[in-house]
Amino acid sequence: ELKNTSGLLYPPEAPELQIRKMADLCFLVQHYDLAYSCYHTAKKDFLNEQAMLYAAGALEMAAVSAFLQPGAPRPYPAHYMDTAIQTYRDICKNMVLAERCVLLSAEILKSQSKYSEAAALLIRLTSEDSDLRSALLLEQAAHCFINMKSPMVRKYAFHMILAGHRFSKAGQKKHALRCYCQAMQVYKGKGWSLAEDHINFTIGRQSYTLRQLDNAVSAFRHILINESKQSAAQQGAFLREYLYVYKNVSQLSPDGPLPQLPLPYINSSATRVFFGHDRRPADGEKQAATHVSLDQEYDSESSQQWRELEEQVVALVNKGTIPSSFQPTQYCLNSYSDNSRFPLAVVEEPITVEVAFRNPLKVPILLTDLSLLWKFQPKDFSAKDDEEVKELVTSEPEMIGTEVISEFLVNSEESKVARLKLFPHHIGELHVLGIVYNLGTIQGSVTVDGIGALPGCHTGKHSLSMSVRGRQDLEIQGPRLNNTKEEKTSIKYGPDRRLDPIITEEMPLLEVFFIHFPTGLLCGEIRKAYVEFVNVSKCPLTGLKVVSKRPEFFTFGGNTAVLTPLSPSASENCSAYKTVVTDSTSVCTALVSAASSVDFGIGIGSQPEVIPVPLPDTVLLPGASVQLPMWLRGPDEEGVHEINFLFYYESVKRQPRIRHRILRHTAVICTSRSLNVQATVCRSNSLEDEEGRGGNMLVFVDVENINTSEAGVKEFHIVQVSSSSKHWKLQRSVNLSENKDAKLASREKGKFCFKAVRCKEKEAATQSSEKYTFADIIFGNEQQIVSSASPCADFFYRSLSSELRKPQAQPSVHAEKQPLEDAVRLIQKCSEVDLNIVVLWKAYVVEDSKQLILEGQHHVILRTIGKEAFSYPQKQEPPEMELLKFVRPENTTVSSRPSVEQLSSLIKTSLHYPESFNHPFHLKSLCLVPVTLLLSNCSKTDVDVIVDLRHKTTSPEALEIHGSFTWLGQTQYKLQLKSQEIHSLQLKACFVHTGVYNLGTPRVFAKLSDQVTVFETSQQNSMPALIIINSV
Amino acid sequence: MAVCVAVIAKENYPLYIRSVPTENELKFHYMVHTSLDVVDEKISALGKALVDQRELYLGLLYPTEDHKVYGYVTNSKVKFVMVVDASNTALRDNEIRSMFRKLHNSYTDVMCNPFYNPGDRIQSRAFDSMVTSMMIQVC
Amino acid sequence: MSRQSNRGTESKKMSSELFTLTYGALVTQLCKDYENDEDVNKQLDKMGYNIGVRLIEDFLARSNVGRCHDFRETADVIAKVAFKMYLGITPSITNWSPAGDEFSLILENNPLVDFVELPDNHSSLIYSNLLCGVLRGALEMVQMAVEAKFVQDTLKGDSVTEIRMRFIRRIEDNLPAGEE
Repeated sequence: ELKNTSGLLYPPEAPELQIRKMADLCFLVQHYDLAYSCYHTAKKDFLNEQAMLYAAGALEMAAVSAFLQPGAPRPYPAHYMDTAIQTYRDICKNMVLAERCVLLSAEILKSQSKYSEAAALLIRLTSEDSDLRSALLLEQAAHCFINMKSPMVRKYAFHMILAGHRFSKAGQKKHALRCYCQAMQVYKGKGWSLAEDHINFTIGRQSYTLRQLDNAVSAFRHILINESKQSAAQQGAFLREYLYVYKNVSQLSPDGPLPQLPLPYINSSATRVFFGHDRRPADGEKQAATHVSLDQEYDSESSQQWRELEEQVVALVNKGTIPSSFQPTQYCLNSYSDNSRFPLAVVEEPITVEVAFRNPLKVPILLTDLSLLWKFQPKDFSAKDDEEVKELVTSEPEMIGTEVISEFLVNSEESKVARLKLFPHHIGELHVLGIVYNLGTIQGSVTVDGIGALPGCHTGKHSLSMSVRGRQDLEIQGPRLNNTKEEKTSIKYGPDRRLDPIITEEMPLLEVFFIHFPTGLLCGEIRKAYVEFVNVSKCPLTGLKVVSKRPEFFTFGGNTAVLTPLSPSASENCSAYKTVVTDSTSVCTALVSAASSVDFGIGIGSQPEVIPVPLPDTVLLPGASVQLPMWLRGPDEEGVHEINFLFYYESVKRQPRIRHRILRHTAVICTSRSLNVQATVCRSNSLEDEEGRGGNMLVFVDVENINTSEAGVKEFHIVQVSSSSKHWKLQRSVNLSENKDAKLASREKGKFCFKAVRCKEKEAATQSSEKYTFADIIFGNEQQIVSSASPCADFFYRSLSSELRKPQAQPSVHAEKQPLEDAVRLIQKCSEVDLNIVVLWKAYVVEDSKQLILEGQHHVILRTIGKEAFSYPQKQEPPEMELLKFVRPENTTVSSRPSVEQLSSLIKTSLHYPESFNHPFHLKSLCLVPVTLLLSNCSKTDVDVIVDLRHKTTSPEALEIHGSFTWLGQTQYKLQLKSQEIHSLQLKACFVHTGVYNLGTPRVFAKLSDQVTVFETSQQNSMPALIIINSV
Repeated sequence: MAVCVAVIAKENYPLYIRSVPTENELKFHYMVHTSLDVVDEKISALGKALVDQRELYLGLLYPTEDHKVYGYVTNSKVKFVMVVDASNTALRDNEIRSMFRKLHNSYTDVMCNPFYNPGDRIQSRAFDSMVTSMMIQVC
Repeated sequence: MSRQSNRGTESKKMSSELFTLTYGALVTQLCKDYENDEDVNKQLDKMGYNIGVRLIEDFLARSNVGRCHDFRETADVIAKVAFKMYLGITPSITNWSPAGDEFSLILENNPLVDFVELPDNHSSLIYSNLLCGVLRGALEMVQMAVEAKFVQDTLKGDSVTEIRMRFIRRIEDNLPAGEE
C-alpha cells in the first residue's frame, strides 16, 4: 500500500490513514464531495507532519475528486495537482508516481480543453534519464498542441520529432518511424529544407533498419537531389548510407532495369559532340592543319567566316548558286550551333561526346566504368528500311565500338567534363541516349599517415565496395521557337538533334601538313613553304580546292611555271624565286618577258578567292601523299594576321548524303615593317628616240627602310625593279650613283629613276587580252629574277586584283551629257597611265648569330601622272579633331568637268637648245640662237594649239630671270596636232648681252579640236630653261 | 545584433533564412518554424481588435533559455522573424523596431527587382549585405 | 489626347517607380518568351528603334534646337537636352576618338535600373538596350547613321554605365526609313 519514503511510516490504525481510507471509500462510491473534504483534511494532517508522500497522494486524490464532482461549487484546484507532482518529483523522488500524477492531470486538463497547460505540464516532466517516458510524454504533448482550438501544428510537428528522437534512443524503431512520418507531413514541401532533409535522413535510416527499403531509397534520394545545406561530413554520411541501402535493394532484384541515379548533375545543354579524329600535335617541322577540335572555344564571328568561305566554294562548284540542300559542315556541335538537322557522321570515324558533370555535394564522387548508352538502327546497303532497333550498351562492338572510362573523379562542388568516344562500324541511325556508370564514393578522405587524399589521384585506393550501377539520360531541350504567331503565343521548343547522328558511307579524309611554315615575316617577304596533302582514308578524293579571304597571301604557282625544287630539303639555300644568270654588263637595261594573267588564275570573271590545288593527277588515292610548294608573301600591313584556309574536297564516287568535305586551317602570321615604296610617274622632257612616238615617262621610285627592329635586319638590298603593264615597260635606269642607293640601312631612303617607254606594237596588249609585259632592271651583281614567272608574277597579279577590287571613285555617267563625257574622258586619259612597279629586295638579317637572307617584293600601282602612289597606304597622322560636317553641299553630283590640272596636260612642251652659246658681241651685237620647241600631243584626239611668244609679265618669277631677249619671227603660232603627234617649232632667240637667260617664256594654250565653247587652257611649263650667253 | 533572421511568406514557407554561427542552423530553423504558431496567434488576436496601421511590429514572441524571438508582419502577410541572443540585454525595443524597418525597406527593394518573382527565395546581394550588417560578427 | 499648343518645357509628371517597374516587366517578359539573352537584346534594340523614330519629332518640337553642324554638337544636344528632358539625368561626354566620330556617354545613375539585380543566368543580357535603339532610331531620322552600344554597365559590376556612340555615315538617300 502506501509507502512512506520520507521515513515516516504510519501504522495502519493511524487516524490520518483512517481519514484517507474513508476518503477513498467515498471516492469509490462516487460521493465526491465528501471524498474531497476528507482528502483535504488528510492532506492537512500529512503536511503538518511532513509526511510528504502521503500529502502528495492526498492532494492528488483531492484534485481528482474535485474534478469528478458534477456541478462543482469549487473551481478545480489545479495547484493541488501541481504541488503533488512537484512533491513526488522533487521531495519523494518517485518518478513513477509523478508520471501517474502527470498523466492524470493531463487528462483532466484536456477534458477541460486546457490543452496548452496540459502540454506544458507534460513537457515539464520530460527529462534526460528516461527516453521512453520522455518520448511518450512528448508525443502526448504534441497531440495536445494539435487539439487546441487554433491548432499549433508546428509545435505538434516539432514535438513529434523530439518524440521520435527519444523513441529511437529508447530502441523503439517502429514508433520512432511513425513519429517522424507524422512530422514529415507537416514539413513536406513547405520549403524548410534543412528540417526536411533531417527528417528524410532519419526516416531513411529507420526505414532501412526496419527493412523498408523502398522508403529508404526514396527518402535518401530526396536529400541528394535537392541542394542541401549540410556540412561535408553529413553529406558524405548521407551518400554512403544511400549507396549502402541501394546496393541492398538492387541485390534483391538483380534483373531490374538500371535505376536513374540522381548524382552527379549533368548539364545537358552543355553537351558537345565532335565528329572526327583527335588532332595530332605538330610533329617536328611538320605542322598539321589546325582544323576544329573540342579544345577550341566557340566564336560566332569566326564560325560566320568559315561559313562564308564554304558557301563561296560550294557556289562556285555548283555554277554560281548554292544548292538548296546545302548545310555548312559542322564538326563540333554545341549549344550555339544550329542543331535542327540530323548531323552526318562517316563510318569508321570516331564520334566524341563531351558530357558536363557537376558535383553539388561537398564530398568527391567517383564514377567508374563510365560509358555512353546508345540506340542504333543499322541500315542495309540495299537501302531497305531495316526496322530492327537494338538498344545496346556494350555488347555489340562490331556495330558501334564504345569507349569505357574506368575511373572518373569529380571533386566536391566541381564541374568537370568527360569525353567519351564511339566508333561506328556500320551505317545507320545512331541515337545517344545517356550514360551509364557506377556511382561510388571515396573511402575516407584521410589515409593512414594522416595526409589527406590528393584530389584527382587515380590510384586504386578508391574503394569500390560501395557503388551502385545506374544511368542518367541525356535530354537536350531545343531552342525556343518564336517565328510564327502560334509559336510566339505558346511555349514551343524546336528540336535539338546533336545526339542523333546519321552514320553514312565511307568518305575520303584529307590531312594537310605544312612544312617550313613561318610564323613571322617581314611585310612583303616571300618565303617558300611546302604543303603535304595526305589521303588518310580508304576512298580516293578529288576536286581539291583552297578558299581563303586573303588570296594575296599565298600561291601554288602559275600554270605554265616550271616548278622550282619540289622537296623541302633541296631548297634549303635556294632562292624562292626563279632566277636566271645574266651578263652583268647589260646592267642598266631592262630584260623583257611576257606573261598573261590568265595563266596565274587571275582572269576576268574568275573568283580569286577559290584556288584549285594543282595536284599532279586530279585524284588523290587512298594512302597517297603529295607535296607541293607554296609561296607566301607577308601581308603589307604590320601586325598579327589570322589567315583562314578552307580546304575543300569531294569523293570520286558520288555519295547521296555528303557531297563534299572540308578541312580548316588558321595560320597566324606576325608581320613587321620592312620597306615603304613610293613612286611617281611624269612625262619625260628628253629628246625622243627613234620611234618618234610620244610618251616617254620618267618613273621616280623612293624606297625607304622603315624597319624598326635594329637588332634583326641589318640592311636591305634592292636587287631588282620590274615593271608590269599592258602598254608600258621600263627601259633603263637613270641613276647617277650606281649601287649606293640600292643598299639601305635602317631608316635610309633610296631614290631611283627609270625611263619608261611604250611597248612595241607586237608587245602591246590589245583591249581584250590579258597579256602583261614585264621588264626587269637588275642592280648589283645579282641574278635576274624572272618576274613573269612564279612566284613573282603570282603575287603581282594578286595584288593587282585586290587593288582593282577596291572601290574606285568613278564619276557617274549621265546619259544626256554623253558627248561632254567623252571629251572629259579623253582629257582625263592624258593624265592616266597604267604602269605597275615591282620592287624586289633582299634583307640581311642576323638571328642567333647566323646570317639569313630574306627575299621579298613590293608592288606600286601607278595610275595617274604626277600623283604619288604607295606600296601600302600609310596611316595619315590625324590632324586636329576633324569635325564631321553635316551641311549638305550645294552641288551633290561629282563634278563632271575636267579639272584645270587635267586640261593643262594635254600638250607636253620641251625646249631644246644648247646650254651655253659663245658669241663675239664685240663683232656682232646681236646673238641669234636657234631653239626648238617640241610640242607633243598626249591625248588621243586632235588638239588645237596656240603658242604665244610675247613676254607677258604674268608671274613674278618670270620677271626676275628672263632679262631682255626677244623671239624673232612669228609671235603667235596656231597649230593643230593629231593624236600622239609630235611637232617641232623652230624658233630663234635674239640676245644683246651676255648673261644667263630663261628661255621658258613661250606660253602654250591648248584645247580639244571638237570643243567649240571651251577656251584653250594654258599648258604646264617646264622649269626655267636657262641658257648662258658668253662673249668670246 | 541578431543571430538569425528569417523572412516568411504568406503561406508560411521561408523566403530567406540566415543564421550565424552556422552550426546550430537546424535548431534555428526549428525555432523559427515553431514561432510561426505564436505569430499566427498574435495576428488573429490583432485581427479582432481594430488594427492600427503602425502596429506591424509584434514584439517579443517567446523567450527561450538563451534566445529571444521577435516578430513583425507586413500588410501583405509577409512575416519577419528575428532571433537575438538573450544575453544581449542592451538591445532595446526601439532598436529592434528599427531593425525590422530596415528589413522591411530592403524587402520592398527586392520586390521591385523585375527578375524577382514573388514567392521565390530571396537571392539579392543587396539584401544579403543588409542582413550581414545586422548579424553578430562572430570571428 | 489633344496636344497643348504651348509645349514649351511642360512635361507631365509620372512616377518614376511606375516607369522603372514597367520597363522591368517588359524585359522579364521578353526573357520568358525568348529564353535567349541575345534574342532579347535584339528585340530591345528593335523596340528602342521604333520609339526613337517617333520620339525625335517630339524632341525637335519641344526643344527647338537647330540643325547640328558637327558631331560634337550632336553629342552635346543628346546629353544635355535629350537625356535631361526624357530621363531627367545628364550624362557626361568623354573619350572622343581622334577622328571625331566616336564618343562615350557616361551615366552615373540609370533610372531604368533602380532596384534591378541581374540574376546569374542572364549574364549576357544588356538590360538597358532599349536606350541604344532609341538613340539609333532618333538619329537616323535626322540623317545620321550611328551605332550605339553599352561598354560598361552598373548591373554587371562596373562603376558607371557607359554608352559608346559611333558615327557611321551620313544618310543621303531619300528612301523612307525602314520600320523593323
